[in-house]
Amino acid sequence: METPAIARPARPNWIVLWGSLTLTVLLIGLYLALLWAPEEATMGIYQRIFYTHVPAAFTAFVAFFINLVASVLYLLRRSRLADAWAVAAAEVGVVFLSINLITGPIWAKPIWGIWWTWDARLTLDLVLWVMYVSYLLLRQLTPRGDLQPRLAAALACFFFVDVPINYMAIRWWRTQHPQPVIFGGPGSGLAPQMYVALAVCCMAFMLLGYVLLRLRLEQEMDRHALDDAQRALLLEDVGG
Amino acid sequence: MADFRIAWATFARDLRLELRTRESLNAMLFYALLVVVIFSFAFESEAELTARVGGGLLWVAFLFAGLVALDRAFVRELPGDTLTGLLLSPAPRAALMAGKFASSFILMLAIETVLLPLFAVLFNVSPAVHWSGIVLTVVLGTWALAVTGTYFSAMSIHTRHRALLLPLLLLPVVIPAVISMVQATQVFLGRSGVADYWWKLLFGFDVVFTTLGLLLADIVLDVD
Amino acid sequence: MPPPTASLPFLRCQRLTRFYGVFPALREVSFELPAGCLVGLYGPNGAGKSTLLHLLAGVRRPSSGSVRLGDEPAGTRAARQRTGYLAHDSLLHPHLSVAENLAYYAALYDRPSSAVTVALAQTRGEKLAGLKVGELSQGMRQKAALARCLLHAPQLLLLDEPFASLDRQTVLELQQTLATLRDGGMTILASTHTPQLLEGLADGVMVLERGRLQQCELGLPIAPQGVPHG
Repeated sequence: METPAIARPARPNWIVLWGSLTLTVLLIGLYLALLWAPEEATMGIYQRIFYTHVPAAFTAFVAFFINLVASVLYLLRRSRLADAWAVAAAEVGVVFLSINLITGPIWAKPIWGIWWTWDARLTLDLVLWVMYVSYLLLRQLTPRGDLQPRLAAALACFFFVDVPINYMAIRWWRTQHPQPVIFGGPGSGLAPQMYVALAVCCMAFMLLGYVLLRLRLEQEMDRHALDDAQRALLLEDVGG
Repeated sequence: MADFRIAWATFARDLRLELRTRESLNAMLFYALLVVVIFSFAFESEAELTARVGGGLLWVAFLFAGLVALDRAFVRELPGDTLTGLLLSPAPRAALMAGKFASSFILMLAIETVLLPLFAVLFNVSPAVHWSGIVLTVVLGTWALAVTGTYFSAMSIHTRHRALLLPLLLLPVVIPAVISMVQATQVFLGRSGVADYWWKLLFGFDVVFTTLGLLLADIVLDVD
Repeated sequence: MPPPTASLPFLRCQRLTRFYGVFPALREVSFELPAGCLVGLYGPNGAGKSTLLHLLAGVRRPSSGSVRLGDEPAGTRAARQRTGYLAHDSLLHPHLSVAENLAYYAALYDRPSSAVTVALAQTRGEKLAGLKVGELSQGMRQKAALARCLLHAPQLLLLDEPFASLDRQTVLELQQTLATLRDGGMTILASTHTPQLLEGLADGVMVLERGRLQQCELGLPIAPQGVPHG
């Protein structure tokens, strides 16, 4: 009995190519961030964690946006590929947002003496993180099938609509009850070299995010292909 | 209109079921009561503290109690497998969902009507407080919780650990509503500030998520 | 309902397949049924009878293949309006009375409240109206559930093991009801473990085994010896 052939581009090639590119840019970014960029006047060496903190957030937001687009596409087309993009993007987003949320307090503590503050941006990050962790939990607790991607896509739509409302609520909340603004308060400009280092680090994180996303994407599609092959096999089976 | 008839019939049937078997209603009320009592042990209930953080305390109590009511929304359809009966029918899912929104809202409101006076007594809320402002906040806030909670109740009925998943899905999404409810209530308990902006935000939340919940009702009230 | 011409296919299934995970519960089942017939669905446990009925009723979606009722695919609002499904569960809430349950379904199917009385009369369950569903015996619950199916005058009636745990009298009444409905032009598909109960009643037989349709004969009386037992 023949198993259906699974056609797929050879995997090792793209990983070698993109992996080495990512590693290169990461190393360059590391050098720029830790050694090349000038030390910040008031915060000293601790400020350098900013080159991880901000690119992580940026990558996470891009990933969540991809999740949103993929979810809507799934609802319109019921495409398995769209759903695979959605789950991969959500996972990558949560990873990078976690990095963002962890580096925040690590940065804040030595400089401002507090681990956490409910400043508007940090709070929004935390809310977004909580939302997408619940998204991943929903996916995990829903049985595999047509149901899981459908429910997850609906949840993603709720998130999309929720984010602007969250923004307004948290902003107004902080206006009513001002808290110390840690990151990027008024008057904190960046030296030109800092922008360069930041840009390179953003690119590095985006590349890393891409590699991780694509790995996850392919894993998901492989799983589908495997299921399809098994189903085709079991369908033909007359004696079993 | 047939759709309205369905929504109304769903609403009436839900309330009739809850009233018919008082068991779940009694349990919900008692649970809510217990939460407020435990809170008054956990937090100092002096009038001064209530004026500062009473809003938060009240709404956490409402949330805990509300989650029990919201879980009922579709668990009610498990005996006799009436859920399959609903999905089998040609009834528009938005109509079913609208009926469920309304019944969850009324149930939660009923529980809160009992809780609010109890809270006022146990937490020494000053009698000079502007109660109509609090009532308006309660109405707007409860609708926000009822609508999103009912939708996620429908979503979690398909999953494992349903009762656990409901708060995990609901709480992140209602954060802006909770901020608004608490701040608005606090305006009246602390007798300072203005609630207008919060009410507008709550109203906006209500409109947006009612619409979204009805539009996406087909997705969660669907067969596999 | 005007008596339709028996030769036009009313229910058409083509290569109906349903997987649960990777396990195929139904494998490429194809058949056609005309309007106004009563067909018995037989097969051993796990053959896929319930799954087939679920797909026809729109309780589950097929993994592939199609089901059409007349010109409508199954699962659409129009198709649901024309389908009645008698499941293992009554789909009636035990804490409400039969009348209250049926009144709700009348609203769901956009039928006048008078349809409730008519449906109860059809199943000879008029006396059950005021009783709570949770207090009914198996046979009474079956009648109430059947009334639920008939409320909206469906053209297709699907029954999942309707004779299970019924007493002799109720079985007789059910047989008579089904015959009357079939003569009125309804297409009825009933699964059962005991083919003898449909003997002399059914116009045709379908046999499922391990998800495949092994046998499909219409327009012939049931010959008990020709039907494999489950």
